[in-house]
Amino acid sequence: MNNYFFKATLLAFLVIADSGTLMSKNNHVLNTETDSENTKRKSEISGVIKDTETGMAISGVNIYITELRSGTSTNSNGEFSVALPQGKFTFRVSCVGYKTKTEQVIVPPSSVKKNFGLESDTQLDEVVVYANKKDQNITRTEMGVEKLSIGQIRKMPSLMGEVDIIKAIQLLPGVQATSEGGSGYSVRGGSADQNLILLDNATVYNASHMFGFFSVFNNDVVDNVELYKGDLPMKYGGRLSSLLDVQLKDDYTGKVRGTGGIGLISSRLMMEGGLGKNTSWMVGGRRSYADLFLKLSSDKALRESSIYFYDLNAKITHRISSTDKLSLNTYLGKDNFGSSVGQFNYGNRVASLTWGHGFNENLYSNLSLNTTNYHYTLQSKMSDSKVKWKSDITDVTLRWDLDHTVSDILKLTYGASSTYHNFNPGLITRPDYPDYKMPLYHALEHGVYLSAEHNLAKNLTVRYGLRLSAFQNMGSITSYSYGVNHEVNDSTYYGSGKVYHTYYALEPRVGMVYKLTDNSSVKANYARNTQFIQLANSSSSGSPLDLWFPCSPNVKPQKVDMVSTGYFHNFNKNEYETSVEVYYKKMNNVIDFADHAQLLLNSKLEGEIRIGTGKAYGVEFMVRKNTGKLTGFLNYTLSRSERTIPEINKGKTYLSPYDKTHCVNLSLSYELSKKWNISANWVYSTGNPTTYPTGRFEVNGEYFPIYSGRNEYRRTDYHRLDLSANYVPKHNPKRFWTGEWNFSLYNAYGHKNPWIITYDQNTPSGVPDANMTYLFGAVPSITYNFKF
Amino acid sequence: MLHHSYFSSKSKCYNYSSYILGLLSVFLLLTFTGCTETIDIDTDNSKPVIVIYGTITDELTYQEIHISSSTGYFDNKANPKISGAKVTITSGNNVYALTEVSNTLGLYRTTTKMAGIPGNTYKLKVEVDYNNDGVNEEYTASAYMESKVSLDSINIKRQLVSQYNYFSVNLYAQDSSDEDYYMCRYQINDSIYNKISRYIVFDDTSVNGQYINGLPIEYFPDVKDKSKFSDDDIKNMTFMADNDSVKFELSHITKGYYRFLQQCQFEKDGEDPFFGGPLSNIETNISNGGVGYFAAFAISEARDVAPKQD
Repeated sequence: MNNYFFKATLLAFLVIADSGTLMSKNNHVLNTETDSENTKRKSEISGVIKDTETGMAISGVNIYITELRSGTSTNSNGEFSVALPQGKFTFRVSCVGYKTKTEQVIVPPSSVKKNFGLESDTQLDEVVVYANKKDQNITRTEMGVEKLSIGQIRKMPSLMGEVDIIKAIQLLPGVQATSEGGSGYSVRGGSADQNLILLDNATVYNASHMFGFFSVFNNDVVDNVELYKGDLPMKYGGRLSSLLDVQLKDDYTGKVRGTGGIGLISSRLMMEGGLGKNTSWMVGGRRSYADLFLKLSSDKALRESSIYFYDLNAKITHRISSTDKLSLNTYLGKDNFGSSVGQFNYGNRVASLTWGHGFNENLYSNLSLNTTNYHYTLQSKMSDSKVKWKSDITDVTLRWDLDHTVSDILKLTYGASSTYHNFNPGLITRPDYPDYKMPLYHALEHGVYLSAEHNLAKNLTVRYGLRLSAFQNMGSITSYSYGVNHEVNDSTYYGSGKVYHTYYALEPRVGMVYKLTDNSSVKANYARNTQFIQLANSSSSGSPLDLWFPCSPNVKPQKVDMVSTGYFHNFNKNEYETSVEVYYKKMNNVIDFADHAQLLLNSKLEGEIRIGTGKAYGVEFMVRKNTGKLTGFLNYTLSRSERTIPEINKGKTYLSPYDKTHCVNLSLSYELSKKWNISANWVYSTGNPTTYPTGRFEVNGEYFPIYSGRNEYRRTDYHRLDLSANYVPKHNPKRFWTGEWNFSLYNAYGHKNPWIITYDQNTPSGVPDANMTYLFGAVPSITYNFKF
Repeated sequence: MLHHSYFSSKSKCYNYSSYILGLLSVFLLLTFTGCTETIDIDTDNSKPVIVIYGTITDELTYQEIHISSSTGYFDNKANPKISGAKVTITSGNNVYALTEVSNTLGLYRTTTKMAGIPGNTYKLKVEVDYNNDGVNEEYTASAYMESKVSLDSINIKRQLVSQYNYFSVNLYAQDSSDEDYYMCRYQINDSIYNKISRYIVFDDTSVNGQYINGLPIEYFPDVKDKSKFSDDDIKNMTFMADNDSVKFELSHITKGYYRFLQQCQFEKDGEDPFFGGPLSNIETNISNGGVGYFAAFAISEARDVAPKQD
């Protein structure tokens, strides 16, 4: 088996070694018309597309050449390249948040550079959240991709003045919150740990602050966000359901400038600038200060408490030469809850160093070293027992990704990655007693992939590829084996660094786009994903006590096979976008936990795992209006997600905690005037499946519940309305900054959405009552946002 | 307002986990003032099942078994007791018959006094026609009595936590090198706290095989602070006052009974958003579809007086 793995790696690298001619990196390859045209000499038109106001390069710009009825788009450096025969062509350059530019371009006999500048559209407040660019939803081969720019997200109504990326993606079809207030999310019926979250290439394990009420992403530092619902790009693996790729701003080398906001709960500031022509830097921070109000309390206990979170982002990018770019990105965030009794804190530390190198115009590579750490600590300050409990997970990843444009109709991406995982499930220290140390897990996760995007015909583009993943468990550790009753029957000790088990997985992916007309297309794809690490957290609400554990000789990797197909149709020159997508997912080695599983501080955690299969399927409808004073979207998802695990619920199929039959999201924005813009979101979904007691037994004067099955009932339906208004006052020329006010009302009609259901027997009649705790009535907030 | 959650009666198990979990609930409730209201939940009532609960101790007394029936969770009527069952407890060659106590339906007592002996296994058999089909069903359970705890003393100390006065209960005993599970019940002056939610249950993970040198196993708030807590919290709390005379009964229990007690405490009040897994049925050692538990344990006693404030 070892031989096979290394042969496959060797093969992959041989393909890389055989590199081609000089062309720059492209997302799409321009389609050529006929064979006879192929023989005509082509000239290369290439360039960079930048934002006229900021000077920053724009990625994902759509370039459509009317005469040829096809197009391409810019890469993450804002560069594009097309090969055209001599003559005059109409370039239509468009991108979300910008005014479309149409320009005649004369193609000379030789290659030429042609840059474009795009003017921002956001000042007119016309653009609201919409996922795909003008007709990119028609042409892009990946299905189930949503892209959001920060300008769009900012227009949405906010919770407590913080506009949150993760709340924004929860409005998209197929994406649902796991619970009220939670920052965890479920994509197409999958669980919260099946989503890969990247911050400039580095994994973020827990993207939430304040028990899930805010995410760790400070909007000011984010450039754009892409969500892939299942059909992950080939270079990423290890998660079954989705990829959230959050990309930070960079490449601004002008004078120092910044943006920020002052709000009721927290404030933020971001500054960026250049050091010389070739270096750009960006620094951003955010801190909450609700605890400062506690200091004014008359209650001594509250005065001694502290509750806060903070984020710190820093990024520096240096263009070493015209073909080399180096960037270093770091993030540090923490939540802290303290009182006289004790303290609890948790946070992420993330860093990535990337070297982008253009071998030639056709071959571009990114070599990146990333590290991430998520940790939490609880400690008691009680004088007679100062207990401290710490747990964390650390990854170090080295990855190399290449984009290779082989020809007009074929573009390859390939590369490899290796990650070292280190899991510390818990270390308890206490004065006067020996440390209680849970064994550390060590593992290596590798991937090597090759993917091709191939224009087979004028209207047909296919994408296919293969990813080979491997997961290796390493010592030092005592590995247990479990017998029939999930009780330990044997154990083996492996020394430090010894690889004692390896899993391999082959993950093929194939997809196609078939353009029926200029305005419509049909897409289909199939993908197989594998996940090697998972969360031991069976509660569906966001808890920071994340415990990640790896697969092992006792726990097989989880797998999913998914197919999806969709029909996309734009009306009225892309003013309206509509789509229907259908998906079906079949999962194997689905993990759930035994009844009364002890997850924390359990060195025999694997004995609590129960394995089975799962199924999720659904249909997503979306209508979007992109232009005009009123913009927005409406989507509806009908879906189901269920599991069948032999030892749970007596082997009967039961609903996954993430099953929500109906889900409706409406998001609208209306430009009242040049100064005022109002927007509203309305969300509705069927209540989460839940377990309610159907019987009770009495012992010593107390009642205890009896349940008929797992997740057989549902909570009440969830719905709420958020409203927001943005006011841009006339700019005062004496001030060096410009500002705007944002007023928002979260849960405008105060619908009480249940957070937890508890039972109280201390009633006058003695008969138990069910009590619902809800978190939010209507929550207003005001934020002042500024730019300088 | 600072809620009582640190020392919530919903403690699951008394080892490091619950200690810290208790801490966590404090912070949670500091952060959010969620609102709670009563709602109506419609659930189909599950079929009734027989409920058998009883414990054998090493005290020479009439040992008792309770037999009743389960009902729908929100039923207005009290759970019905089961009468007319034939109940026996066997240990080795000894067979003890139990008869129903007159005027107290569902309560069955041994006809003679008996004392359980550590190291023995007791088997319970209940025969009754539960489903009224003319044929008796048989329900059995087996309980092993663990060794007596070698208890030195239990000491009550005062502890000031911020502005709250607490009495901490500290244990001095020798733990064995086996996996031990403990249950501690208390009586304050004349009040016996026999509800399972008031039992203190813990395992020996943090002290295994060692001398337990003043490990705090519970905290009781001072009754003088009662007004600082909400009415809802007070209903679930046990308060202590200066000079209260407290009797503690500490026992080794089997892992099965420990899990039963833990699960009862955990499931009783419903969902826990942070540590709660999916709600699941409480385990039982009663056969044939019954619920409840049959347990045996030896009792070691200690007394102390709650100290006055200086």
